[in-house]
Amino acid sequence: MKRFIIGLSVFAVMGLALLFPSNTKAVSQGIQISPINYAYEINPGSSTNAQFIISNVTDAQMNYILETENFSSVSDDGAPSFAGTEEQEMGITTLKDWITIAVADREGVIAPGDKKMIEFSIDVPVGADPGGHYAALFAKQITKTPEGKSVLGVQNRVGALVLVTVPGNVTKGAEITDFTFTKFFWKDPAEFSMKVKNTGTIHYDSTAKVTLTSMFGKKSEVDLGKHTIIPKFSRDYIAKWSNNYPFGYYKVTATATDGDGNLVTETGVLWALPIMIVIPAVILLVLVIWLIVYLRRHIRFR
Amino acid sequence: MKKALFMTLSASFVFWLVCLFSYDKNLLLNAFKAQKAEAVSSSTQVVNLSVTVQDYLSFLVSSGGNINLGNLTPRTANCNQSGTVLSVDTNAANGYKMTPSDGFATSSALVHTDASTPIVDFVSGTVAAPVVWSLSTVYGLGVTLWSGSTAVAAPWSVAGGAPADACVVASTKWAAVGTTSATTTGLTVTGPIATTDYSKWGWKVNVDNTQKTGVYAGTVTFTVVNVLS
Repeated sequence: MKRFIIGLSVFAVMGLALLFPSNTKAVSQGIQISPINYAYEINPGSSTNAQFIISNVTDAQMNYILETENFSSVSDDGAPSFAGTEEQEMGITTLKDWITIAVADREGVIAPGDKKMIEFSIDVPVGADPGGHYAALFAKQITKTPEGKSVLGVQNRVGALVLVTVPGNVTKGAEITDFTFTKFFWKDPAEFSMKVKNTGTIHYDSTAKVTLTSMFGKKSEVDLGKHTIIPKFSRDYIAKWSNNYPFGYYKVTATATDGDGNLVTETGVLWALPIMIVIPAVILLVLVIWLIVYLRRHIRFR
Repeated sequence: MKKALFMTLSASFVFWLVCLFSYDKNLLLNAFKAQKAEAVSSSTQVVNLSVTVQDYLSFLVSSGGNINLGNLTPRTANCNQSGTVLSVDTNAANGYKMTPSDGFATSSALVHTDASTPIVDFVSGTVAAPVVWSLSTVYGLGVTLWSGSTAVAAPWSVAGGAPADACVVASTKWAAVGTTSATTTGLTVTGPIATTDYSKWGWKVNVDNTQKTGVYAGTVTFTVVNVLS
């Protein structure tokens, strides 16, 4: 009887294990960092301290190494591109060189499921150029490929973006370089898109919107959102305008803020002839014409 | 005498209480309540709570951390269809960007055990503009992004959507792995992601018959960063 009960218990446990399979999958490569965005204004000759946490999100021990790279370009959708280990002029340092991490923390080992707080400082040298400086702090998991085998190893690296403004003689200009929208539209929604270029020397957040003024003076606003733009590069803004019964002529004004909050504008004209209005109007017109023709043919007016 | 005085004073006090109560019946009750409330407040402490929710980025190699491309016969490509599955989890509002790089400017990551003879990069396509790998006389190491939790977009997308097997479908687009993550973007996911995102990357290699025989190995690094707000 005792054996029967033990056997039944084992069978039940196995059955439950089959019914509720574990969601945890053994993954040997996985790294997490937090936070992933830093933005500071630091005077030349000054420093700022910060920290981030590296987590081992696997069930195996993790070896990591920290790296820094500059980025100076961002795609229109906001994806930064990195400079890699580029050559630089003698004596000229950049943000990646200003980021200081204690030697003991630059590489290390983190136990499964554990985390480690890394402290770093950004030391802006005296004489640093005023303007925006951009870099990323990377945590790379180091893995070893089996020796003597034809194997392609895959390593994972994850980064936090560091945006630093060095105050001084800086500019914060903006320009709408492209503003496109449906000039004639028959049905909702009308789509607006624009590119806003940072013509200044530091990054800033730019808010964009489109204002539509109808021929009767009624105004509607379309919010295109807010994006961070770095100098010399543009960001895309896209939004749709839904209006149940737009009709006729609209004056369209696109605006975006520069780094000082000033507005830059572009204007255009939009004609709305929605099918919901046009088709009944055409049918009514045809009916009226037909009625007039009918009356003329069949009824003689004295 | 004393008893009479005591009785008189007691009666006066009771009379005063009755008068007071009849004048404002809430007066005594409120005084009592205030005392009680004071006693309660003096034993209450306030605890202020605050928390800052941080943004984070997790990047996992779910499978295919070590790709064995097998025994390669020159001019007959070997392809690893199961490839590498990469997973990203983040609360970044604007999504993330993923880029492969190998650190080699003129060749692929695969280097002979002599430490000097490499296998070239796939010569036709780049990560920015991948192309179909149709001829067996095209050589190098190539990578493809052929499937993911979201539909594979341009420039990797092929007619008919993600194939069941990237290696046998002729329209699969291949690219050389770039040197750095400078100008190439393998995958950009814009906007917040609700659950863990995954992407599947396949590998293919082919060499000419002049390639030195032996064992080749190397490492490709995938970099993930968040997209700017």
